[in-house]
Amino acid sequence: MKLLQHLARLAALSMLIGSSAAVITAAAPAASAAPLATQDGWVRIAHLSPEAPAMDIYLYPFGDPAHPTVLKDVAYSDVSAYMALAPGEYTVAMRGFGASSTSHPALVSSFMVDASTPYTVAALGHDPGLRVEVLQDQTTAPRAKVLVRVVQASLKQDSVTVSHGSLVLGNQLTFGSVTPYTAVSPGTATVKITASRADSTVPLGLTMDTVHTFVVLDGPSGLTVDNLTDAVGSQAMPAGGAATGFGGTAGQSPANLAPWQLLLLAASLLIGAGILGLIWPRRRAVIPR
Amino acid sequence: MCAALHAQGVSASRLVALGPTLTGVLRTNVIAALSSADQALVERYAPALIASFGSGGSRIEVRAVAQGGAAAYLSAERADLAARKSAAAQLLRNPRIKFSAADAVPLRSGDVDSRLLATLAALSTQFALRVTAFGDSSPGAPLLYRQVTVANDGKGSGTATLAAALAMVNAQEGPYLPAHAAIVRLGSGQTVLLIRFAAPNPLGLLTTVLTADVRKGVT
Repeated sequence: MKLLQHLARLAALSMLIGSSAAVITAAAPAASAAPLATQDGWVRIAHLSPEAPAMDIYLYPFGDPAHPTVLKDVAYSDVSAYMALAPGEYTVAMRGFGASSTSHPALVSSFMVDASTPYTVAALGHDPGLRVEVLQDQTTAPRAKVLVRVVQASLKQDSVTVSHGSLVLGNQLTFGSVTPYTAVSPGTATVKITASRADSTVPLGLTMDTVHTFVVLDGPSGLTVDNLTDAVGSQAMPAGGAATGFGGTAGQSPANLAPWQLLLLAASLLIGAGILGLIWPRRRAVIPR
Repeated sequence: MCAALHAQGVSASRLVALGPTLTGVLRTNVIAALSSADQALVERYAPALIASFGSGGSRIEVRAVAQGGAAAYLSAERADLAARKSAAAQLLRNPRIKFSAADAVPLRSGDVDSRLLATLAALSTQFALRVTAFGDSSPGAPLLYRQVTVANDGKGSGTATLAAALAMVNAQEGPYLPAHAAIVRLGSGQTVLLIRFAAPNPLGLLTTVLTADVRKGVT
């Protein structure tokens, strides 16, 4: 299933380069990720619980449960590409990695996808007792600025304070807290995480006109930060946004694609691969302690 | 009131006597009081009527306490009603779960508990079901339907399907674990799965999106 995730990410990349987007979308089997439409919402999934094992995450439309959007083998620190979803109410359900799609899922949340709106579905906390938060993301930053928010997902610290340079992004954040987005200046600045039992600092470069979510996590040797890129520049869809499709209907795979679709997909990926290192946002900037 | 509830089996450790100053009201989830009790209590802390018994000055009201205050509660309640209506409209288009015309009415009106809506949607991912009835509105309060009975609407053994559906329902946690679920035989002889959630309906369950959670200490 790693292959599916990898292909999904590559497909997402190719979306960013424009003309191949429709091709990839058309090739995608997910019903809910069918042709790019401006009225679609955008959803990505983040596994931010170090205690929880890899899992399969299903998004079931209330009105069409036979066509869920599925992400397989979502492991700690994985963050999917954005997937296009038709507006409507969705059930978020989880199964253990590799469990049959006919097995009983754990119903963990429900949420409404609005048109043209991006969301992050984040799994946080202890296992058992995993908790899912649905965050509404932002796609544009103020001119020549960077937008940053913080999600406090550390299990070991009662509360943390996070600052970017001299600007406090979040003060005494308890587990599960989410700050509003804050505009900061682009460039390199020190991100500081202060907690009662551990502090971390790291220089972090942020490019103007981008939007980020800093996720505070417990690393192997202290607090870490996942620097998630929510958006790059002013765009109609979020960074990494794609109708990935391979996360679509359970059980489907690239093997289900018609040969011409595979050819088009391969061409798109080749184009995308050329700029892979340039525009694909690094998901994680782990701050060593 | 506390003595009466204690006599009916409610543990004393779960009871808080509210004096005239209302100290401690925010430590409670539910209040029970005569309808003639201090209206400030109702207006400020407990606008949601769960049930009522009796009439006139001896009428007893059971109300949910709004931890964020009455105004915030009423705002959240309006948003929840809109979400329930929207979710119900989508559920009515779900080909794997059928509703009678009569049962579609409370659905469309947003009168069905959001936990039931989510549970029915989740069950429909695994089973083809038919809703036979909504029920269990609380006495003396225009409350949401918190109970449903469903029958197998697919191929194969109805009993096996309902048993599997019951297992799925009982495997849930948190707000999605019902207060009661069982396979029952109706007077008509039909076997159904009964699912019932306790009052009150948690607001915001269908619209869990956070833009910023200022309640958790964010400054």
